Amino acid sequence: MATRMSTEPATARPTAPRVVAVVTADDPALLVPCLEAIGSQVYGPVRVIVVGGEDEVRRVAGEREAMWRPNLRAVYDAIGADVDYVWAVRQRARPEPGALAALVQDGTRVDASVAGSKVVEAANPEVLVSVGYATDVFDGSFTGLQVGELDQAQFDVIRDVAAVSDTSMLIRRDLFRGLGGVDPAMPPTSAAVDFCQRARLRGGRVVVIPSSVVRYEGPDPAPRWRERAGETRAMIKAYSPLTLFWALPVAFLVGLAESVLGIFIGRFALPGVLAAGLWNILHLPSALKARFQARRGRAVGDEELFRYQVNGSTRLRALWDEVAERVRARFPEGVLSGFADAVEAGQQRIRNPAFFVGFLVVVFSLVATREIWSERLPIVGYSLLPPDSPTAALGAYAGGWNPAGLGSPEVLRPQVAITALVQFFTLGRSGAAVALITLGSFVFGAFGMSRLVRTWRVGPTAGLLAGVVLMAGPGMVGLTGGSHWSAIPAIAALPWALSTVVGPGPTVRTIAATALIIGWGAAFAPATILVPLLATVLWAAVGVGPRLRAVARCGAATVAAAALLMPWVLYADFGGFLGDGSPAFWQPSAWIVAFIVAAGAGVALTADRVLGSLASWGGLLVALGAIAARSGDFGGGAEMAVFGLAMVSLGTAAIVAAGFDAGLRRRVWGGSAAIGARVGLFAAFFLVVATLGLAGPGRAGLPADHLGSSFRFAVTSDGTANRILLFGPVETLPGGVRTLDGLGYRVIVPPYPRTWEAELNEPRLGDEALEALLLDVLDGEVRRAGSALAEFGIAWIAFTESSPLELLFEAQLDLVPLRSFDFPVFRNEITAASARSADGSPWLAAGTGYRAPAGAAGAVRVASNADSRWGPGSWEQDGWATRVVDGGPSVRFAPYTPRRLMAIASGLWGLALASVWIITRRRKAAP
Amino acid sequence: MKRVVTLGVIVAGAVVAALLPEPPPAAVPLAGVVIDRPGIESPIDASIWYCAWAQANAERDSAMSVASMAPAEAEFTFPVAIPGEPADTALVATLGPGAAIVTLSDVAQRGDSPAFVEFSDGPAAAAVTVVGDVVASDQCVSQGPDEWFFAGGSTMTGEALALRLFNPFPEVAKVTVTGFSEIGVEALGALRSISVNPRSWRDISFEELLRQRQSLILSVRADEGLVVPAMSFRTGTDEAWWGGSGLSTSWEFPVTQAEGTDAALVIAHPGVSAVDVTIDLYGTDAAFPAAFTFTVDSQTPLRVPLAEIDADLLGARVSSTGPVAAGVVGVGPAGTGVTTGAAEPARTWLLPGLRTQGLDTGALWLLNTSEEPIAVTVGVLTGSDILNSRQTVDPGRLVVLPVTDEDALGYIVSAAEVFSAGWTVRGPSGIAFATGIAIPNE
Repeated sequence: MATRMSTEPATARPTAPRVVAVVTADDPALLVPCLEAIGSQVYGPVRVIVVGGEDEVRRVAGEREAMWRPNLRAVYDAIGADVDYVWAVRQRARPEPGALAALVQDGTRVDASVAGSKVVEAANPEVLVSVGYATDVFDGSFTGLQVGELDQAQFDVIRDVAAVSDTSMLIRRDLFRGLGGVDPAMPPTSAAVDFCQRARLRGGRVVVIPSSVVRYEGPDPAPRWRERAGETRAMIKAYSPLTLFWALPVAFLVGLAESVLGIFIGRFALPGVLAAGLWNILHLPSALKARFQARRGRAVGDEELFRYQVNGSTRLRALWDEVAERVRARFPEGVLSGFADAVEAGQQRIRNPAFFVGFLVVVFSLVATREIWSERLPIVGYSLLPPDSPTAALGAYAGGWNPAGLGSPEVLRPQVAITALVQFFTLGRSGAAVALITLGSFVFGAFGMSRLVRTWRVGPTAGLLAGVVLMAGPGMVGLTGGSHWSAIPAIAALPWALSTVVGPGPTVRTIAATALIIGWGAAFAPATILVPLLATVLWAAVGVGPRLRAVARCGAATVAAAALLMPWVLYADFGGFLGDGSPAFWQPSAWIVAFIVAAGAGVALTADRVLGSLASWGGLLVALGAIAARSGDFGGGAEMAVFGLAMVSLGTAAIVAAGFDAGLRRRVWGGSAAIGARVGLFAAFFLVVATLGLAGPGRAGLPADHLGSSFRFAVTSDGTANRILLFGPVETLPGGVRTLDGLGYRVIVPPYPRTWEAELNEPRLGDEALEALLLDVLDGEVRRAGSALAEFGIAWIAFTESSPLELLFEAQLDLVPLRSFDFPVFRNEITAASARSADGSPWLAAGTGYRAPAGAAGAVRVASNADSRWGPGSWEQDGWATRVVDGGPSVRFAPYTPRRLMAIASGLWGLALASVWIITRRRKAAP
Repeated sequence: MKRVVTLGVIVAGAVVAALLPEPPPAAVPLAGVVIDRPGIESPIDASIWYCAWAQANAERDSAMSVASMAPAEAEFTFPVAIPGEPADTALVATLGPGAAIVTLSDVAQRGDSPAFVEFSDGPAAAAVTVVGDVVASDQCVSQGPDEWFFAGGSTMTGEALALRLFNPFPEVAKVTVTGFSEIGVEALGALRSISVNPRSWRDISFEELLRQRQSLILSVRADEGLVVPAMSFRTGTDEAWWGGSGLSTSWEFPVTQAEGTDAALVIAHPGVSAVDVTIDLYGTDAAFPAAFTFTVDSQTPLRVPLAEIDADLLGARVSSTGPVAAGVVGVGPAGTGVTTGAAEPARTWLLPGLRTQGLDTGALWLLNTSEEPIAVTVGVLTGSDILNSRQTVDPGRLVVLPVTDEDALGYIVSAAEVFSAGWTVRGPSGIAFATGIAIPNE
């Protein structure tokens, strides 16, 4: 500051700073006592200027020998060059006699550009109104005061603050002119924040001077939405484009969250949020003009503003406080002591920056999966809903009939069973189960990553952001882009499994818990079962601290988890399992690869031992995962890609965690470490930003729904079981496919296939017969394809996209082309049913079996691959199909007892593991 | 050191991952598989025959004749042109070789009843003979071109010409009918992309639409779906029906001129440039090689009366330098007969409609256009037996054998060399010409 303030009265020495008081007024009744208080100052201003108001205000100002100016622009001319400071005062201010003197004396001493007074209530001077503001990144003000908090000198220290109250501000004259004064378009509080923020951008220091006391004649609240609009306007004027890029959307999300939470206290903020947005759109030109002025000649960046800001959202924090206060008020003292502690803990937690990031992670998860929980899982590829009946699904898994294609006794994937178990918790609703699994996986996966990296003292904020990359980063994009929905819960389980196994818990409990977690993930995506073990081995190779024990624990847990996958694990052809499906060939964008490399190398090469090891571990996981995920030319199939991309997801998340944590420590590191940390931070930041690409469509990265509503027309009103023969390029068909001269085909049950239909069985008699028939059609040997297909229960033929093969079906005598659809569809004129009695009556679907319609009975032909376990009654092979004689009103597949027992054993094994985990926890808690 | 080694491993892994080759792309679906828009073709051993013209009412009835080289079941389907109404069906079995007949009035008696016949084995053939107030007979069709041609019709005073479009398939067909006559290309814009409902038919009369045409050539092309067309020509008191044909550079007409008719060959050239046409005629005791040679202009029908030839019975062979459509029409006191020829001779012919029934007598026509005599085995197909006899056909001669066996339901004729065969049915109410159905050479 060019001019030093003096502590002496203005009349004492001619060199004392000269101050002009500028009073903003529009009410003469309030103005009079304000002017009287100014007039009683021991350090009197050289002149007093009243700005604003009309004739009455002008008259009152004239009576008190004060100048009057209609607006701020006129005030600039009236201030005069001989003045050093402007004392901005609002008409409701009642400065105590020494207020200005204190501002001048202490403000000069600390070299402040803007100095504010302590504000107390005029009616009760013991009650504090303001001792300066902190703000959040959204420019919401935070007084730090409880309602009615008494002034006990607890804040009587001169300190830098984000903003001071505009009730009484001493401002350097040149700064006042340069900044254009207080923005008249903004309400008082946000205007003060805005002015102080602009002052700080110019390098000015903003302090509160508690010895300067101003009584405030209030209250004088502005509408909430105007304050919200002013906060946004302040952001627009002050922040850099990069900060605005993320802060404005997040501010809107916070507004939405406030709208939801506010309902619980009878406040609905959404109209205000929208009104504020609209107001800012209307005032955007003036805001941009003011932004140009504010940022021109700035001396510091956004970081300087962030220094005086609190973490999280002050509005949400105030909301939480209000909720807590209301809860307290509703109960007698002591009744809620435990709860009050919890509330207090909650308040503490909410003040933790990780809480805010965690809140954002939840919001992100909600946004990224919104179509799944609000509508339905997109039906495309392997993204399929579970069967409607969880009991039927469990029965089919436990040695029952596999209904995929024309059916088989092959063991279903464990995903069918685990989803069915979750379905019991959603009252049997398959869509709700999928939504719960998906959303829960996103949230728990992200928090699991935070928990994992906390093991290595990485901060929770970095961990949560790494969790976002785990669940929505390049690995997950590759998986869900290939419609592997089941990989979502599998990957979410990985950090939990690892954090458990590398943790310090007792061995038995750790193995039990880890086995349960690994088993949970592997049930959804069996290919990921070895990822935790491999990751632990790699950590043992490159990590820090005791690690070999974790490898042993993880090995034992993996074996224990494998037992949870019975009976599938005992019948699976693992060679075919890893090699089947579309060839693995992950092709990330060059930018993503560059950011992963930059983040990993930046930290691994320069950071300390722990973070360097973490980044190296992530790099190894990514590199090995990428090899697996690109091994298609060497036989790697779809499940190999799942395995590889799971490792990529985990590795990328580890790198991001290391990058963020190193970035947050960059100020305490010097030299190359700081540079590497900045590079890591920058690259990690962009990897997090890249997750928005997955979140945008709201399908957790899954492709758009392709088949969800296409075949609703094929559902019979009476529940008759029939099938659709679906043709199309392999990548457009759901689940596994067979091919006919390269054209994919498979049969599905309308309206869309369920998870238990995803994987087709090895070709059996019926499948071969169907292929032979289709070859005959292709050779032009068939003119009544409808009649022949009806034998397979096929009532419809459809194509996912146009194909020359349509021509062959158009020339059939009993297939009717339906031209009203967007895709080629043929209706079979011959009544087709998956099961029918000898008299031709179609039977109805009942789980994986069939039941007779009213009045029908006798022998039934089941158009499924022949198997002698169909019954009850006597079984006969009817060509490739099954005939059941004297079976009664329903027929079904008698489960294989050994497989059923295995499934039960795996369930009991899971219960045993859970029991061990719970019991050992209690034992620990007992002492 | 450990960090450097680790980074080295990571870099090596990344390089390996980057260098892994992309798997070969999946095969393009149906690559190399040529799928043409199928016509009405069907497999030889499970053939489907479409009979667009069959009638049963108070004045006339139709004999739906089938013949098969192998034991087979023939399932008849008679669609009803009322949406939702189930089709009438009939099922007969044949020996191998054998023949069978379904009398239409036994199945449906509602006037027009187009049908299709599905054989469980083959080769097989079907034909329809309409008797009663008229005599008309011709083979049904089991295959056909993309564009069907009808030569032989006319719309002079007292004549009626009708085109039937039969759609046995479950999809609506869109059909465009074009034509040309001696006055040039006819304006038939109203017949562009006309609809024929599924499992139904549509008749188009030309005697009002295109009056006073002596030689009217009509063509039918399906824009969408498939149809089986047939033409009916009425003059005097008799009527003839025949199926369409494609184009060919040679045609053999075993039945060209019968007693009591004045025959004319009608040749149509729908191409863009003129072609040279040679007509060889064959009588029972004389041959008239190159009896006529013409240059036929594009889109101009050529009608060649054969009355000046000194023979009551004639067969013919038409050869041209470009693909043409051809038909023979015979009109006279005996009645009216029209038929298309055979594009090429064959060793075996099925004649499912050939028989003598009541006053309607059939005759087998055998034409040998080669320069060697041919020994033809004539097999009478009854419902339970086959009675073979041998007949030699001299080179360049026509042999006409009256059919007297009343048990006959059809005939099969075969020889070691190629020849052509047809039949006529003559009765008090008219005459019918038909060309046999060639069995593909094995």
